[in-house]
Amino acid sequence: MRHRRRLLLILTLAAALATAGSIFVYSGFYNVSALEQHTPPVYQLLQFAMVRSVAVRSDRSAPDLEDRERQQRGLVLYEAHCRQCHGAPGMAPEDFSLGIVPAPTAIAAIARRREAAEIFWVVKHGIKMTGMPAWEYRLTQEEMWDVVAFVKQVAHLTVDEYIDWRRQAASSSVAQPMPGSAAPHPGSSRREAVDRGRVALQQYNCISCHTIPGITAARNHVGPPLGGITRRAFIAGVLDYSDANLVRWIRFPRNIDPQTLMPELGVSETDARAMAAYFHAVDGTD
Amino acid sequence: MMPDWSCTRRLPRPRCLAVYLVLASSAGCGSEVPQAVEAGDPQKGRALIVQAGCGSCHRIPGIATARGEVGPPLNHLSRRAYLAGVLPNSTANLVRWIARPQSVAPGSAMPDLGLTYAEAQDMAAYLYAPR
Repeated sequence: MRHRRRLLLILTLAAALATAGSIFVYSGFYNVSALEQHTPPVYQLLQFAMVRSVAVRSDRSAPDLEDRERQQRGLVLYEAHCRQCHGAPGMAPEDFSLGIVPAPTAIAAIARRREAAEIFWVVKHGIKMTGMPAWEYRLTQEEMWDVVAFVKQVAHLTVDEYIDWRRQAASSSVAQPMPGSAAPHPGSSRREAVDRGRVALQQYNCISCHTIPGITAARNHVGPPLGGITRRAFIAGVLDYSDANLVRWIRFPRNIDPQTLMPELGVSETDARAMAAYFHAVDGTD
Repeated sequence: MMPDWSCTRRLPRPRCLAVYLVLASSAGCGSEVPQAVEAGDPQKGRALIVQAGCGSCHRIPGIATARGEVGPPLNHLSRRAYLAGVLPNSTANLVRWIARPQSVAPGSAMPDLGLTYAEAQDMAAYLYAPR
């Protein structure tokens, strides 16, 4: 009897909490405006959760980051990909990044506060619900460590020293990054290709236009749904279906149809094949 | 793309809030139906779609025999931003596409079926609100 009553009490409490939670969410009471601050306790909790999540997941070790050439390569990459949000000594980030919440941390602060391995993890994985993207699909492992090597130096640089570094890097022939060159090594196993394809579809933002089975955020109707695409006779109405043609379409839609509204996203051959493998898996046509 | 939230501004018909929340959680819970096709009759449209054999190439909601997988499925057409990959979604554009696909996208696998614009209007009306 006592057990029943206690159980009833717990269930009632749970139902009350669920109702309160639903009302809280549905009423729009929580303000998502980026003009409104978090309350301090909420802010600190979110920051702490983020720091802990990164700390627990990053490796303890980092390669040698003292090599000056590595740091210069990192500077070139930083200028191409990071300065727009994180700024540089004496240099503001781009206008668009000024309103982002949470604000992209000033790079000198990152350099001083975070371990190299943690910075590497954040560069590679990005951080959900912030503007920090994952770079794993766009930079190689080595390139990401190059960026980390540079970042660790930036806190030591005055404005003049930074300008000097830039000039040196520009004059030395440091290779420019190729889009889509990254890679978790293309797995030789089909399972790895399918998993890679699933992530690639999200990383190249296919999800923002298409509905794709098995991918949470892919519930959009800008373009047609992609479930069943490997069973269709035509791709985009103009190419006979074949895996090779699907890869071609994914990579160079505007070459095939100049009128198409599908943009060219710099998808690498490896990633396009992985996407095809994923489609086969969800369609059951593998 | 921001989903259409206009449907969440008022309390909905379904009394059950939980059901509503589940429905509303899918992106764009309202249908962004373009301006009504004045002359389009969805009932006639459905019959025309069946007659014209659209189902041999397309899956079409509300028509069980339409199971073709030559072209893309035609579900949620009212929500799509673009038609045939090249046209912004609007009634006029859908009618144009159905009636004269080869003039919109020459070389497309979608054939000109010799439909009149009136017939295309009826078919478009059905596709935007299939039942």
